[in-house]
Amino acid sequence: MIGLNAPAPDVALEGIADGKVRRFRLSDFRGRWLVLFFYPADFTFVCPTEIRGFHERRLEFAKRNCEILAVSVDDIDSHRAWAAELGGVAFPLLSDPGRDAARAYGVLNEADGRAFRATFIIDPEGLVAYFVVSPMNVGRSVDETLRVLDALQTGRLCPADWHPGEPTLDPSLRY
Amino acid sequence: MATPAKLAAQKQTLERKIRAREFVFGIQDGLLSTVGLLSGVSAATHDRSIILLTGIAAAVTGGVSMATGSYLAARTEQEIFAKELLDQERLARTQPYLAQEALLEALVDEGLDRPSAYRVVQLFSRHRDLLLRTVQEKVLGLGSADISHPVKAGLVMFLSFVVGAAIPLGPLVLVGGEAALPLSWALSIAVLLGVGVLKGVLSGRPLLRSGLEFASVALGSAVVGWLVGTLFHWGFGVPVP
Repeated sequence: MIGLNAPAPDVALEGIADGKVRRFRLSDFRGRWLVLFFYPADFTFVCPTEIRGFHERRLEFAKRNCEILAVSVDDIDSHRAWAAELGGVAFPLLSDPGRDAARAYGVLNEADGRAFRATFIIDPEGLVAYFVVSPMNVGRSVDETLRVLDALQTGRLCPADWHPGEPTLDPSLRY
Repeated sequence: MATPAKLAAQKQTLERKIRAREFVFGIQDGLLSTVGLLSGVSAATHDRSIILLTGIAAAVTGGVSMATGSYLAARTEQEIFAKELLDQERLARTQPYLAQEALLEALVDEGLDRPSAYRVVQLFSRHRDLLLRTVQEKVLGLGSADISHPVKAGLVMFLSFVVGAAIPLGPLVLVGGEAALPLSWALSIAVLLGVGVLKGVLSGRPLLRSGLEFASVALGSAVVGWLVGTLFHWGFGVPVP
């Protein structure tokens, strides 16, 4: 697993967005926040709830200058069929059949060759600002991802369960 | 011609056929243990009433013992299955995604492509009981056929054992004399062949092969026993009847 504030591995993967296939390189997203989430597989039952969750809240991420990328080890044809099955997905589904990205981010489950359910928030400088790995049987919280993104974007110290509008602390304050 | 109604009726036929397990076990054990016992007792005494009494006592006590063993084994199996089903039901209720994913993987393993398997599971998921039953069958391999009915298992075992034991006893009761024991053995071998043929009918396998296979395996145990006795005789001078 890579560390916090470490440079996010700059992987390049084929992905499908709006029905079109193209190559996505993570460094192309510099200057914007990025939510990169790995999911185990297409055509499963927890993953669509997460993908739909991010899809439905995509505008809230866009308002925060944040892009969303989803990655699994499935091939492009599978992603195309999966996106159609879900009625369309507003963000790119990247294909990592060689497991390079999952390995680079330290989230490859060697037991089944799939990625763990891992979420990374990468800041505009390309540094890993936050990551979380959920158990395979527990879906991620989009609310929590947005809350953490908001907290990171304040650039200040945020107490536990902080939400936008609540007081923050000056990071220069020291006892 | 197969029809949906006929296929549904096959489940009941299969449940009856599954009782063949107890039938085969009971017949074989009742027959061989009794013919072996009668051979041993006949070597020690020529008193027909003692031989008969021993055989009948062995048939009844063996039948009861086998029946209770079969009942308890089936009961244990039933209780383990019931607990497993209960656990699965709880899992499907509290974590339906896990049940869905497990079924999906099972269908993919059986050769269905992933998108089709996903749609099948999605369809089944609209009916929780159907999903649960299919998870039980496909994931856990627990069929809905009633394979563990303890009372039926015990009864079939008892009757089969007693019938098996009665076969070698028959010549001793009806014929007597020196010819009785060889006749018991001949009758036992013939019945073992017959049970093997019946097994072939039930399982759809070649009848002669099934009969010979069954009889040779069953009699093999008697031959092993005889060989061990012979070895003791030659090795340690222990008398073999």
